[in-house]
Amino acid sequence: MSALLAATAVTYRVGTAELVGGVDIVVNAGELVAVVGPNGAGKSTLVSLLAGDLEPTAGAVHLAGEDVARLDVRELAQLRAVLGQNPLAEVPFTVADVVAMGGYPDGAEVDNAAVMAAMDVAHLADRVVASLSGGEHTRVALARVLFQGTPLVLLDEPLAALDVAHQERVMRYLRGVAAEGRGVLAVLHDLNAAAAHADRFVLMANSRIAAQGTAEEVLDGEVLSNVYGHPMTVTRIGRRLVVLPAD
Amino acid sequence: MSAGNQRVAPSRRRAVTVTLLVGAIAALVGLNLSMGAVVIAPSEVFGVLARRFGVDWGPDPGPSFDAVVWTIRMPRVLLGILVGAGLAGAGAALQGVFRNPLADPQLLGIGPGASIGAVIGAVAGGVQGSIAAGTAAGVVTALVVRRLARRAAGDPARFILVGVALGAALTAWVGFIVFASDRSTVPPMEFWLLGSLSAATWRGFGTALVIVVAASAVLLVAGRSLDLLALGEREARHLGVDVDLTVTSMLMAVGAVTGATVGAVGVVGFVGLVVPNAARRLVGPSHRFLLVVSMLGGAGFVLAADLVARTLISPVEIGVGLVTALVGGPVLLILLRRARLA
Repeated sequence: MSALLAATAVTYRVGTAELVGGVDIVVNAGELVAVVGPNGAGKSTLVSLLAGDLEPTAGAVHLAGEDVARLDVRELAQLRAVLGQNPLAEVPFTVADVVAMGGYPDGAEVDNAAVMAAMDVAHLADRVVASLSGGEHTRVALARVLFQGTPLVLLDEPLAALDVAHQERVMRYLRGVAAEGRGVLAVLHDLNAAAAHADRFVLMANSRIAAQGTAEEVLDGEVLSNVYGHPMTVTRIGRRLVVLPAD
Repeated sequence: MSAGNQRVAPSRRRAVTVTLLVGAIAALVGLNLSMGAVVIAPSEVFGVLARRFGVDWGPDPGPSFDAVVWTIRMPRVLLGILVGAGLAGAGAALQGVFRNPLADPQLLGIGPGASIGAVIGAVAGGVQGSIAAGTAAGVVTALVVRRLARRAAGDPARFILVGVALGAALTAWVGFIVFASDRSTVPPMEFWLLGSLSAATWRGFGTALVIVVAASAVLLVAGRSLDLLALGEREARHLGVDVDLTVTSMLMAVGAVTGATVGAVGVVGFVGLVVPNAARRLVGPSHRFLLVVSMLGGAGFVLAADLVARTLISPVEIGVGLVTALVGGPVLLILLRRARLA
């Protein structure tokens, strides 16, 4: 399988501050990759670099084999969709209008109604986005991003402000997106939701990758305790790994 | 409930709005041609127009009424339509580009900037020179405003204040040039402050028409991108919009429309503020409809304002900008209050 996303030694500096340093990430078709780590670890900057919003100071990002720096906005929009942080706060359009905007780049065919139903926003179709709650904003923004129908989906905190049922619903849907042969990379704060659904983990700390691999490899009590600066225990409930902050 | 209204077939709502606006414009054209210092009966207006198009219908009103209707009032009416449609479309586009309902070509200083060019152009080449130079200066000012907008991003009211300050400084320069110039070649200061359609000619209308139509076409073509821009510049880029190209071409078009109207009729304020905000309430935020409905509404607004300006204390005319400000001032206050609450 060819890599949908390949980042090699990606570094981003502002002045002397290194926000992302020497990051190597691959997302293959069919994979759901979780990027985790404490606040300020460089996760959102990394997403901006992978999305082509920022140009790396060093290293390179390739989407489907093409250097991101050489793709124009339109080509990028057909290869990857992006959910940024704080989406859609003041948007005056209706939910249906905003989701339909995902179809602007003429990407792959995705059923608009199915995506809206999956994100549980179909009943909000005629509501003006600015009047929605935080969790509803997230779901509408997700529906718009998924409707874009791109091979690669980059999500910065797709579970922000979502209740536990909607978290589960979104993660299962993303699993399904990966099962279609697309690739998903999601920045997640909920380690347990990530553990339940992600194929691989990228654990970031201090602008660099601290660990990368499967849940079993990365979710280690000692590693997590070091990275988060708080004692953590990892246990198993049934087949699931569960991470808990220790007393 | 506004949400409920939106749900009742928006396409029908739009069709009704457009039909009513076109009807209102037609009625206002008739009134403007017939009313004034000399009142000409509608049948006689019709007679003049019919003969101008080579048909011998209705009463023959004779050469003096022909001169009033065809040479004086007709270009004035058409210029009013053009200026109103142009400024309202420009306002709707600016509000979309800056995601700020307070944006208006005159409030942001684009009109005052254009008038510097227009004054100099008037000295050099009459009304055509004024329109051409006004257009060029309008484009330059619009691009300057774009730079200022970056620094005031995030605070809609502050951005408008920056524009007002820019406008005040530029208007002072217009004043210096006007008072230093020959009164016979340059329109008086009140023209640049309040605007006036009284000097409308077929030649001026024709020149402005070419520029306003071309630039407004740019605005209409980019309407879809403006919708995506409402999601935020970053999100629009993610969806494949070349944001820099869109914003630059929109602002150049806005500057051209504004500059051409300023060269033709001076600075008529608030059209670009009042009309798009009203239009948004009628047909929603989608720019494909918002731009068209704003243009129609702007044409009607300026025709109505000019009718009042010409007939209120006839035979003395007041500046058309006085009438638009009478409506626009309170609307701005309401919008400012709403922006602060949000």
